[in-house]
Amino acid sequence: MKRRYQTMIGIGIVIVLVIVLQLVGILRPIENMMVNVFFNGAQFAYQSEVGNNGANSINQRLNDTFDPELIQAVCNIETAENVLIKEENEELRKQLDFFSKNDLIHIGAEVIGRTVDPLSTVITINRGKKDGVIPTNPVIVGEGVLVGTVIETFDHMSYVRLINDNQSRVGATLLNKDHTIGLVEGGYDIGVQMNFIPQNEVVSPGDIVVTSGLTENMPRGFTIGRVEFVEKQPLEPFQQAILDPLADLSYLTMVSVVITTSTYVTAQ
Amino acid sequence: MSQHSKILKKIIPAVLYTLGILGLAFSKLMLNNLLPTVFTYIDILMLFFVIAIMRGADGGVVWFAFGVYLIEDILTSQHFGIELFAGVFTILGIFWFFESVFTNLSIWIAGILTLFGMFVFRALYCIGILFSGLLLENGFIFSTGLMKQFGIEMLCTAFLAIPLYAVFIKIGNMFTREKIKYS
Repeated sequence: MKRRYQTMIGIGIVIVLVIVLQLVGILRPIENMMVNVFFNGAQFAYQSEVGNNGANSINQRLNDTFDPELIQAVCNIETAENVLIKEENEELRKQLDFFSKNDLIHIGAEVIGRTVDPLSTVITINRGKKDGVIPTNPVIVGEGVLVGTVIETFDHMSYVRLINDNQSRVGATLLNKDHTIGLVEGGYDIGVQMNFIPQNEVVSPGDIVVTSGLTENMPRGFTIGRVEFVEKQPLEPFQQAILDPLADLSYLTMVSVVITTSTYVTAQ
Repeated sequence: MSQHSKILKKIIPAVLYTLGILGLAFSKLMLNNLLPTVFTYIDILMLFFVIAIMRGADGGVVWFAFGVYLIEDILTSQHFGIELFAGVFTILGIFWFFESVFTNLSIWIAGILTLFGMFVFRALYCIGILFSGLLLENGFIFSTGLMKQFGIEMLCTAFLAIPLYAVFIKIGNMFTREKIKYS
């Protein structure tokens, strides 16, 4: 038994030593190398999975909406791969349009994978510290739709926490009559929820939720989602709104990182 | 034995050991990126270590786990050290548990040991998160949804351990020293 305690203490000391080395920054070059090698190596796996999601999403939309433009596109270009490229181009065009209308410094990035923890929704992008990305930078798609925030940067890569992650918190405003303020949090069964909405405010399904600008480095006016339904308990001080995010968070390929946000003028 | 072969005898296992650590960590990342969400709940590291311990791995498996979880820690977004601490102590626990409590090699033991391992792993993981929350801000929510995810992860991994271990026994029996010698 005494020997087992000694083993445990020995392993514990080694772990603490490694943690201290990481905190001091000695392990940083190894971390940079590992992240680069591993995520570049696994990039094709993520792209193939996202490609499948994309193809499924196109099929779903064809079935659901009978979108003539999309059907025409599928008929004309025949392969799902081309449809995905077309979608990617459209996505980039939207992002470009958005940035040309707003005075924001941004950098385009490719999503190259997910982190290994199945309990979190954190993605990896191919831009990092050396590209000017810092933690707390917002990450958007389309015409200013917020998908997440940068949480950790390496030399040429960064981790982005998506808005539906367990640890994601974003200050938000509802575009209703009162411009209600609340906190959009992830990690619940249903995905994304807006909490701390005072009971006396009127919130209706369909209301658009945008960033409030009260979170560090997060400008006002990025769209988050639409209210799906409202949960209101008579004796509780706050009500909650369940949101439907405007971006498809399981199908992200190209994103933009907003680097400087001081001169942002809301599009609303 | 020549000096060269003595050096090679030391270098080759070290190289294989390192490649094994890198390969296992990379496999986890690949599967997490390649498979649909529900399959990512299967913890292949736990499966690997339980089967390795049941197939007679010695105490070195704990240091192997140290290497793998160290890389895993770099590839996750949680504070550094949580995965490493939880992973290494879980494998140590499984190793001792198998040595002193479950000493037989039935396929059901593979399932129970995996279930035990996953439970200890997630318990230590939560302790790590709570502890890091005291020192640094982490804002982790212990919701019912998260507990459900823990449950799915435990059951998926434990159920897969049973057939997987059976397959390993079958393969192991096909290639025993005697069978190869007399085939």
